[in-house]
Amino acid sequence: MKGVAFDLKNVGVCYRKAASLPWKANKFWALHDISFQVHRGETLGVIGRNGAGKSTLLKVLADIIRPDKGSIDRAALTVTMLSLGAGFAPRLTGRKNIFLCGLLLGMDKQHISKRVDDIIALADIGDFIDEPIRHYSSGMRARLGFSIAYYVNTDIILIDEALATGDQAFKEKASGLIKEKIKSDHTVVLVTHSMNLVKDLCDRVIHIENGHSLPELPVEKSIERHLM
Amino acid sequence: MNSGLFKFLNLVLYRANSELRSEATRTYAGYLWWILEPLMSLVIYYVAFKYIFHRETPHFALFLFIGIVLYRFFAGTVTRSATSISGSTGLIQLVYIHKSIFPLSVVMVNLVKFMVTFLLVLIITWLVGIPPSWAYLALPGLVALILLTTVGASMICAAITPFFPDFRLILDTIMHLLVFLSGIFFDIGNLSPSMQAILRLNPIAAIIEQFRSILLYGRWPELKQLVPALIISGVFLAVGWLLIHRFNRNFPKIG
Repeated sequence: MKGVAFDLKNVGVCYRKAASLPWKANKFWALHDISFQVHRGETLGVIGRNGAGKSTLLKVLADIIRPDKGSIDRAALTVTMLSLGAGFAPRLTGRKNIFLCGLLLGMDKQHISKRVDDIIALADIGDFIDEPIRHYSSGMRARLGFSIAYYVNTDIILIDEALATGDQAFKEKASGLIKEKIKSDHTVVLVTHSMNLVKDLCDRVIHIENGHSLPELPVEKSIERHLM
Repeated sequence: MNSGLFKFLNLVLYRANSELRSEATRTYAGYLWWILEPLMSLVIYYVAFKYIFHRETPHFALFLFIGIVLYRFFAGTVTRSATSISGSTGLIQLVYIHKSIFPLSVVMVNLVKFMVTFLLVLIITWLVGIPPSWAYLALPGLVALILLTTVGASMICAAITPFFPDFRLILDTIMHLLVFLSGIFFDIGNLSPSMQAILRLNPIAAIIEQFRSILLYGRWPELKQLVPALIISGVFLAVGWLLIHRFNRNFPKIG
């Protein structure tokens, strides 16, 4: 092991409803008590039912929100949540959106300029790249979003079921590329409902239920427990 | 850290740039609206005060226009900023960016429009026969002052609305009130001394007054009258930054 990327101890996250009166119950604990470590270079699967708190957990790891209790220690590494088409401006051309979205994902301008042709090639949208993206089909938009996210240079990748995009052919291409990334020495946290993917790709797995992390088991055992 | 700041500024500028371009594609007249909008409100105020109230201020149209352009920059920016974070819930759930980026991009968008309309103000000034003067050298300072005041107020309002959505409506009323308290269609200098002192506590009123004295009369600004504005803009900036920075990672939790 090359050190610890994340160290979570008893992490809890509480959401508040806006525009609710202070004396009414307006708190909702999405995570109660999560403890685990992520080591550098490993691929960690996160499984659990809908609403168990998996997406909230990814937001904590991405440093989008801070826990309301417990603690998280993070190594000095760059973390990116693979989000497709975050911040797209529908009236701008695909090319401009590559820059906009790339900057939002933390790339710098020179890096984007260098990668822009690769991104366009991967997205496979041809001349449409200089059209406003509101004229794109949803598949084209998803492909462009994926291609931008794919070229982000980052130490730790967080993936929330992002493998399913575009048509069947692109889906296969995309999941192939993602798998390649996962198998390289990137640190990956993968939230998924696909047990096959977990079996294929993950070194370890964390099982979350109602905002609590269950005691860690080996991958096979953990999947069995989840399917019970 | 330096590269962080560089990325931050790049993002603000790129977002502002995108917003300006997107906005222009939404209407037929596009960029022309940057000057059509203030000119249209000029016509309304001019007709109302010249022909209904028979205001006899010299160069009344220009006098009005200076007030309108400055007020619109402040009010338009603050109103848009107020919903800039609360309107980006989707985005802030997906990526971490410092939330000050949202009001700051709105400020950049409106600063560009303001600069264009301000150029129009200068052109009109010369067309009606008022020559430029050395006092123009003070203009960048005054522009900086209204910019800082606007940035501060924008950040405060952007930070409040997500927690308290009703604030947006209250803000509309405050901005409406500000039309009457900023001396847009009258000269503060003509009021009683105590009233003058009170109105100059409003930074926008004090700033509009000094812009006029430079452009219309070629006088250097009176710093004493800008002291409250300076203090208030400093307070706005500090409070706005602290609020956004303090709640930077709380905004995505509100839904």
